[in-house]
Amino acid sequence: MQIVKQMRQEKSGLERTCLEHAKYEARAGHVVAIREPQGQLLWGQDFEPDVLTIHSQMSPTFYHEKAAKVFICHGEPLSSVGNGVSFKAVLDLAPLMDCFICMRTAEYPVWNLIKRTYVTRKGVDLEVFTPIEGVQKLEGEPAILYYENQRGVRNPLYPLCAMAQVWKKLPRARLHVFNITDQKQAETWGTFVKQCKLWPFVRTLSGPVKHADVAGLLNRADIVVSALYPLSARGIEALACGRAYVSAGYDEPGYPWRVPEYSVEAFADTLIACAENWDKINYRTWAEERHNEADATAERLAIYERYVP
Amino acid sequence: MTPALYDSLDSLAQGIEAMGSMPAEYYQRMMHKIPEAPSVQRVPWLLHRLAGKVILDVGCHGPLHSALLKVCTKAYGLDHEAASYPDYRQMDLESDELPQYADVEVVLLGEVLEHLMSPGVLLWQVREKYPACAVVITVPNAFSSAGQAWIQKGIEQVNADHTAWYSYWTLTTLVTKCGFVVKEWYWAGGVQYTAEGLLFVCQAGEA
Repeated sequence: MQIVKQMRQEKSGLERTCLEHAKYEARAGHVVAIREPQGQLLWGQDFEPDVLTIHSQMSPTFYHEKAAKVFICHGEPLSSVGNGVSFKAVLDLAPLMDCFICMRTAEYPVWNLIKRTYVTRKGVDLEVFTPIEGVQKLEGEPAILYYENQRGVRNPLYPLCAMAQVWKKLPRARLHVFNITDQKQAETWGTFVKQCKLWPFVRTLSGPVKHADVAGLLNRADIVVSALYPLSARGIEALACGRAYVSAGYDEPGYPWRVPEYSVEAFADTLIACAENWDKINYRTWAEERHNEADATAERLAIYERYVP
Repeated sequence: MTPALYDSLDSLAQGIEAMGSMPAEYYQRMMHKIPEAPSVQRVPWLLHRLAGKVILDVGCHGPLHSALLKVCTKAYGLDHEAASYPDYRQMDLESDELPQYADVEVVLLGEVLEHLMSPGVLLWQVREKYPACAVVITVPNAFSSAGQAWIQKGIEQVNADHTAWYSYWTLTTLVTKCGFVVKEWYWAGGVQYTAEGLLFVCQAGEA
């Protein structure tokens, strides 16, 4: 197939996922290009597509294109409503699409009301996110890492509060907060740690992390904690790096370290349980079996083929 | 057909990362990655590169031309001042027609473009009269460290006759608009980015 992906040049998880899709679809033998909705060809050759995958916006020049049009649901629906524009944009695009693809079963009932929706697994590039031998570990037993791009209610408040309880049970546990990109956030967390005397167990409050450094950073931790809730599909790269992942939003059946409710106590209990039974599963194997981007790509390609004219 | 902005997915990812929070349209219009290039000493490089060649030295007046006369097979010279160099013609580089010498192999525009009101007019003439010749251009670097300490004190360190500052990007844009292709380029006199000058070797592109 000849696949054109429409993607805005914007630093985001959406962009990262789109590039992973492009890499693995090309590797599967398809001709792939990435084009901005405004028309600029970003990568690949100029060709007539069989399939258009839309990653947030579509160029009006493609409205009447015969190619199959597939909308990739990157953002989870509650955030889409919450940011005031995305959900309406999806509704406006829907009549032009042949189908939607989302990457979490929990999102399916929402998206499928709008358009015929398929669910694929959420893939991770297992070549990029992989266990690395010999990296210098972050301080702590366990060393717990929070590195999400903070935005709105997506922030480390509950993990920070939970650490006070974790530390009482596990005095050598330490939390490291990376990827603080905003000065006000930095001041907020700095003041919080100082004023509430969290410094015995909060050892890092640090700035932006380059994408190329993320795999190395994940490898420095024992546990990666996510505060995303309720429909999280991010942060699972930690599993591919062989690290435990603690999240209230990750609901893959059989995964032992899902935080059962969004509360400080539940975060603390789950972090302690994870630390005490860290090797209950092999995290890399878990990622290989459930989040291999090559498998996710095969699932997507099978969906595209249904709609190729 | 417009070529893709990036030649690999990795370079696309790096490009987007470098944008930070800037809008893509602004970033593409205003922010320009400077390619890697070595730094050379301007005069030794020119003497070595032009040795044994027949050159046309445009805006030639000065010690460099005297040195070039010793190493070049022949060095035609043009400038607005009276001078006694061999093969020299006094002319107004802004308004007079450029002479055409059949045996010229390389045209040198050394530290001259920044003196002109309309550098593009001269470059168009060079392209028209010497389409097969290599064109070597040197200019002061707009981002040279030399003037940075003075500008903090409110003093601009610049030749009083200059009309423009050039950077890698603006000189590339100027020569490209005038129909040249940049074949080689160097920082001249100092470290990359803040060297004293820029040295380009250009060739006329297809008409």
